[in-house]
Amino acid sequence: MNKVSYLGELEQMILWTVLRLEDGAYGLAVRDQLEERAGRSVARGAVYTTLDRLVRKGYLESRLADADESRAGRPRRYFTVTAAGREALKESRDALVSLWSGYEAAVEK
Amino acid sequence: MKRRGIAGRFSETLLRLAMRDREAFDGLVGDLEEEASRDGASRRVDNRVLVALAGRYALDALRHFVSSGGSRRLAQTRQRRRQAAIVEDFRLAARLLRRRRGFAVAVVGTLALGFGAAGAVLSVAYGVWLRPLPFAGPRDLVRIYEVRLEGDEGSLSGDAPNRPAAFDADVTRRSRLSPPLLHDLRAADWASLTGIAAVSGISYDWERDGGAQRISGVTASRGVFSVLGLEPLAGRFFSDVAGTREVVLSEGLWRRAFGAARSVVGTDFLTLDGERYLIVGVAPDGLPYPQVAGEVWTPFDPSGDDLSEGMRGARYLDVVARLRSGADLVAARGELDAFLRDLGTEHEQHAGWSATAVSLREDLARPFVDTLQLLLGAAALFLLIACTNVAGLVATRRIRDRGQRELCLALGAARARLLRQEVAEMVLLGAAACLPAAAITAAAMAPLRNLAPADMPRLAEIRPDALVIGLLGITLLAACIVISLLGNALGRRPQVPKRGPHPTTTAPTTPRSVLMVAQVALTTVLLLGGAALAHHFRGLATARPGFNAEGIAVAPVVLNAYAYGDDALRLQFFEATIEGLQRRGHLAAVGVNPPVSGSTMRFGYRAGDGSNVDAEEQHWGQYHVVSPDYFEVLEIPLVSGRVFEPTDREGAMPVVIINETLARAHFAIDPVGREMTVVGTTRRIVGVVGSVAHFGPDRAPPAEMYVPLAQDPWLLGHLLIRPIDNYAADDARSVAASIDATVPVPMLAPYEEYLRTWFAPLRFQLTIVSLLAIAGAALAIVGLYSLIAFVVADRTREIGIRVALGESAGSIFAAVVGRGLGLASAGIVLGIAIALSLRGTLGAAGVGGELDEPMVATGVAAVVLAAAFAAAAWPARRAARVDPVEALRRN
Repeated sequence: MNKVSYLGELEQMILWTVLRLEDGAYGLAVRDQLEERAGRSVARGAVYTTLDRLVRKGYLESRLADADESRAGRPRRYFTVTAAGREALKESRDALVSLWSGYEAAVEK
Repeated sequence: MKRRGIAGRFSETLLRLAMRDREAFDGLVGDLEEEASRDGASRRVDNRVLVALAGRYALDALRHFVSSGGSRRLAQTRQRRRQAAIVEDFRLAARLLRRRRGFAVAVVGTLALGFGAAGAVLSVAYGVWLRPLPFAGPRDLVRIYEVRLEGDEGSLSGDAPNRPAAFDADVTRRSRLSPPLLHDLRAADWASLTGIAAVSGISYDWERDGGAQRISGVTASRGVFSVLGLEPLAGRFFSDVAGTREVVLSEGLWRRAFGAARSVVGTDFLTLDGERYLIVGVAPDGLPYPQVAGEVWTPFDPSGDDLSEGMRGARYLDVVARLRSGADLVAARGELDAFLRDLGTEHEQHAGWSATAVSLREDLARPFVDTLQLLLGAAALFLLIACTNVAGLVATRRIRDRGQRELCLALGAARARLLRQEVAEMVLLGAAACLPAAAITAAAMAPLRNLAPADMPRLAEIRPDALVIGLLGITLLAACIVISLLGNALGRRPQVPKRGPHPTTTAPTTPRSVLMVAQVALTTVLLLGGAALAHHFRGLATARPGFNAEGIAVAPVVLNAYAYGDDALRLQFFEATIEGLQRRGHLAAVGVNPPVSGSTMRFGYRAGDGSNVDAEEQHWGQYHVVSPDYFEVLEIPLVSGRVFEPTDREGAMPVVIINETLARAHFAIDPVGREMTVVGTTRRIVGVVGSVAHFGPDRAPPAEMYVPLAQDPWLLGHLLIRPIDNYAADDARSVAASIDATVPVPMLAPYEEYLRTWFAPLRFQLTIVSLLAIAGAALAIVGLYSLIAFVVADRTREIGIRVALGESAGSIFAAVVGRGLGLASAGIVLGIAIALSLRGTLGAAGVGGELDEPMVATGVAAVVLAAAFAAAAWPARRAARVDPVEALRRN
C-alpha cells in the first residue's frame, strides 16, 4: 500500500488506543479503554472487526500469548501498531488539526 | 469453556466459519471467556453473543468483498457513489426483512438445507474421488494393469472386437502384474514412464520377547517411496542395494511398539519369519495407496524362482508408475501395448495380452464412482427442489408487495432501482444462508463417514473442503440472483380474476402453480429413484445366491510360509483342524476363495467335448481348493456325479468338480467322467454343482472349478463352520491351538457379514437417496400447503360471496382440494416422464429396470397424491368454514 488511505473515526480511536496501551493491547483491554475514554459503550463486534480490518490494512500486527484458566485455555491476541499505522494515524491527526484550525476565531466572532 | 451443547457448538462453528482466521477466533473467544469470568465465576458466554458476532463478521466480509471487487475498475468517486447506493440497497433490504421475519427464516432455512445437503454429498464425492492424492505430483501417478484381449470367463460370446481400446475400459479383463513382467518393465527404457514399482500384501510372524505375533505388511519395490513422492517421518526409506534386509515401520507400529523413539531407527532389528531386518525408517500412516494396510514395509527383491517362466502367470503385484513430465496416459498406453505385443511373441503367458495405464486416483475411486454419481444426482435434484420452493416463496412475496411497489413507482422510484433492491434482498438472504449451510455440511461429515462402506477409499480425507464450500457459496449467491429475477418476473404480472360459476374455473393460473408442478415433478423423480433403489435392494437381498450363508461362521486362516513350506504339513494342519471340529459336533470345511468374500482367483482352463467347443481354447474361471464337506457346509447343491471323497488325495487320480455355468458352456451332455485341463493339470470331472453368485447377487455366476484340498493345499483358506452350539469360536481356537499354537485363528465372524459388506455401497446409496427424497417431499408438501393457503387467503372475499349465494361447504372444500390434487397430478406425470428419460443414467447404477415395475411408479404416485391431499385439505377446511359476513366485512 503506497498511499495512506482514509481512516474512519473508530479506526483512529482504536489505533490510538492500541498505541497508548503499548504492550497490553488485546481485544478486551482495547474495548475497556475505549469505553472508559469515550464514556459510552462500544459494540463488541465493531471493535473486533475494526481490529481485524486494521490488521488486514497493515496498520496493526498481532501475536498470541498468555493463555490461562480464566480464558478457558485460549491465548490473548495482542496488537501493536506498525510503522504504516503510525504514519496513517499521524496523517489523520494532521488533517483534522488543519481542518479545525481557526475554529476558535470563527466561533468568537 | 463452560458452555457446551449442540447450540453452543453450533454458534461457535458459525463464528469460526465467519471469522475464517483461527488466531483471531481464538483471541476473540478467549476475550469473551475472560469477560464472562470477570463478571462472575459462574457466568457463561452467551450463545447469542457468538451468533451476533458471527453475523457482524459475515456482514463485514460482505462489505469488504463488495468494496474490494469494484475498486480496480471504477473511478474513485463513481465507485464510492455506487457503493453507497449498494450499501443503501442492502441496508433497506435488511430493514424490510426484519419486518418479514417468517419469510426470511423460511428462505434461509430452505436454502441452507438444500445447499448444506448438496455440500455434504459433494464433499464426499470430492474427498473420495476428485481430490488430488496426498502424494507429490499426484496427477502423474498411474497404475499399470495387464489386459486380456481375448476369451472371456466361461461364456462363449467371443464376438467382441479385438481392439485394445475397447478392452482397456473393461475392468473385468484387467489383471495385476506378475514378477517377471514387472522385472521386464523395469528393465526397459520408457519415453512416457518413470519409476515403475510394485506393492503387494504380506504377513509375517514377528518374534518378540520370546513369543511370535502375526503382523501384516506391505512388500514393495525399493523405489516405491520415490515413485509416490513420500518423505520418511524418521530415518530413510529402502536403499538401492538388492538383498539387504531392511524394514520401514508404519507410523502406527512405531508409536505403539517403540513409543515413537527415534533411537530405534538405524540401530534396532525386527525378526520377521526368522530373519533379522534392520529398521531403517518410518513411513506415514493413512495413505490412500497401497490399499493393503501394513504395519511394516519390506523390500520386494524377486528371487530367481520369482522370475522363472512359470511365474509369468502369477499376476498378483499391484504396480504403480509415474508419467514423465509432458507425457500423457495415451502415450503410456501406446508404449505399454507395443511392449506387451512384443513380449507375447516370446512368452506364451503374455500372448493375447496387452497392458494399460490408468490414473491412480480414478482407479482407486472406480468401484464407487457409480454410487457417487447417483448420490450427486440425487443431491442436485434436492437442491433444485429447494430452489424452486424458494422461488415460490419469493413469487408470493412479490404478489403480496404489489401495492407497495406500485406506490413506490407512483412516487417516482426507478424500476431498475426497485429491481436492484429486490435482488439485494435475495443476496442478503443467500449470504445469511451460507453459514448455516456450511454448518450443515460440516455436521453431516461424521455421520456420512460412519454410513459409508468401510472399503470406500480415502474416507478419512472427507471433510468440508474450502474449494467445495467456496464453489457452493458462489452457486448459492448466483442461485439467489436467478431466483430473485425469476420470482420477480412470475410475481409481477397482475392477477386478473375471471368471473365464473366455480372457484376452480375462475382461479387464475398463478405463476406459482408452474413452480409447484415443477417441484412435485422433481420430488417424484427423487422418490422414484429411492423407490427403485429400495426395490433393487430388496430383490437382491432376497435373491438366492446359490449357497446358504445363514448360520455359517467363518475365519480366514493364513499359514506361515517358512513353517509350512511343505504341502503335506499344510494339509495335515487343515485336515486335523476340520477333524477336531467335527469331533465336537460341528460341520466344518476349508475353502480357498469362497463366494462374496471379495477374493477372486481367475485361473485358466481348457475344456470341451468337441461337440460345439474347441477343447484346446484357453478359458478363465474361478479356482477353488476345498475340503470334502465344503459343499455340504455352504449347501451348494450337487447336480450330478459326486462330491469329493477322502480318497481324492495326492497320488490318486487328479479330479475336479465344475459348476453348471462351466458345464453348460462347454459340454452338450453330462460332463461327469470327462477330462479337462485346469492350470496345466489334466483332471477328471467327477461332479457338477450348482452355480454360485461369486461376485455378489447382481453379477452372473462365473465358471468355477473346485479342486480337492488334499491335491493342492494352499497356505491360506477360509475355515467354514456350521456350528451345533455357541462354542464354535472357542472350539476353533482350542482345536487349532492343540495342533499348532503359533497359527493365529482370527475371530469367527458370521458369513453373512460378507453379504452385508457387499451390500454396503447399495445401503449407503439407499439411505442417502431416501433421506434426500423424504426431505424433498417434505419441502414440496410445505410448498403446496403454502400455495393453497395463499390462494384461499387471497380469495376469502370471493369464497364468502359464494357461500352467501348458497354454495355448500362441501363443494368449496372439493374445489380447493381438487386444485391441489390437480397440480400434484400434473407434477407426478411430469416427474415420471423425467425419470423414464433418465433411465439410462439410473441404469448405470444398476437400477434402471426397476422403473418399469408398476409397483414402483404407482406406489410413488399414491404417496405423492396422499401427501398432496393432506397439504390441501387443511386450507380447504378453512375455506369451507369461511363466514360470509366476516369475509365481506374484512375486505
